[in-house]
Amino acid sequence: MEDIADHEDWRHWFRHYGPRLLVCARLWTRSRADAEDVVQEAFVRYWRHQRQLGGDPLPLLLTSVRRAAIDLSRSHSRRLAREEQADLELDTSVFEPDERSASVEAALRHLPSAQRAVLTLKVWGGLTFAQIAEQLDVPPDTAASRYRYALAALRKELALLAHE
Amino acid sequence: MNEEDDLLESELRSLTLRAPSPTLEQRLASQLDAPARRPRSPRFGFWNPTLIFTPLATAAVFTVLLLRIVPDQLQPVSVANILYDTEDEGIVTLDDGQPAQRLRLRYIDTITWANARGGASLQWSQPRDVIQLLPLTYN
Repeated sequence: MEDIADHEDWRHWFRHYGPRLLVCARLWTRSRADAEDVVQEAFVRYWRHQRQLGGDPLPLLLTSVRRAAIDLSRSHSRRLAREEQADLELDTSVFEPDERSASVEAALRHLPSAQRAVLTLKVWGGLTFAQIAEQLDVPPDTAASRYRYALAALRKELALLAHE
Repeated sequence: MNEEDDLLESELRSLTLRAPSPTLEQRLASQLDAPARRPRSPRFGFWNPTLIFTPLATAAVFTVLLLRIVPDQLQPVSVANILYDTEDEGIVTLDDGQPAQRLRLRYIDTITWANARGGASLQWSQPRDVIQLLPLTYN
């Protein structure tokens, strides 16, 4: 089986990991455009300078994504532009459109942001609870419990949406 | 986790995430493909013999000239004489009976030797006294 992390072509690599990076980047940004900006910055940094470090690339990349998002949010001019853009942005879905994904996305929006972050990093970011704890600066037990609460709350939201 | 959690987790993982926009991939290409497009010599690329052998030939010529012109030995390159003391030793009578004033001048002579080919150098300092006799006349 081909190891994607060892593949030298950045396009091959990016098409595999890009959607996962983007959905996680959306946790820390207010628009898809901003999420793509921070993914671009993190990916270029990784590919040029961190690729040879070895190990699992996703935690490293997601750390870069989060830091780039923090830098972006500190930029006053960018923040104003982003908020104007966010007002106009109608298509904010992180999933390919279908009926079930629309329900999941609607249910996700009702979750507390702390739970949504853990859920996203675990399911689509592929991180362990220890890695999530490091990303979010919380104890691993807290990350694990937030994940369980998130699944329970999501299931409840999906059930409510199904009866509407 | 219970079975319901496992099922929901599996369902979430099976959802298809939206791919990044083509624009993002183009922006990445403009950054990551740029080094690979650096212009190269049309004929030889990195192994252009002109680029390799010209500096080598130039260095060889200079080395031969250096070996011919510069001998492989220490040679004096500078001398310094420093007068650090003068002493009046009084009036003396010369052999012909003429009076003269005797002065003692004390020097430090420093001679520097260097081997231009090898870069070695040697510095040698020694004291030197000079006696001056100035004839005196009485009017």
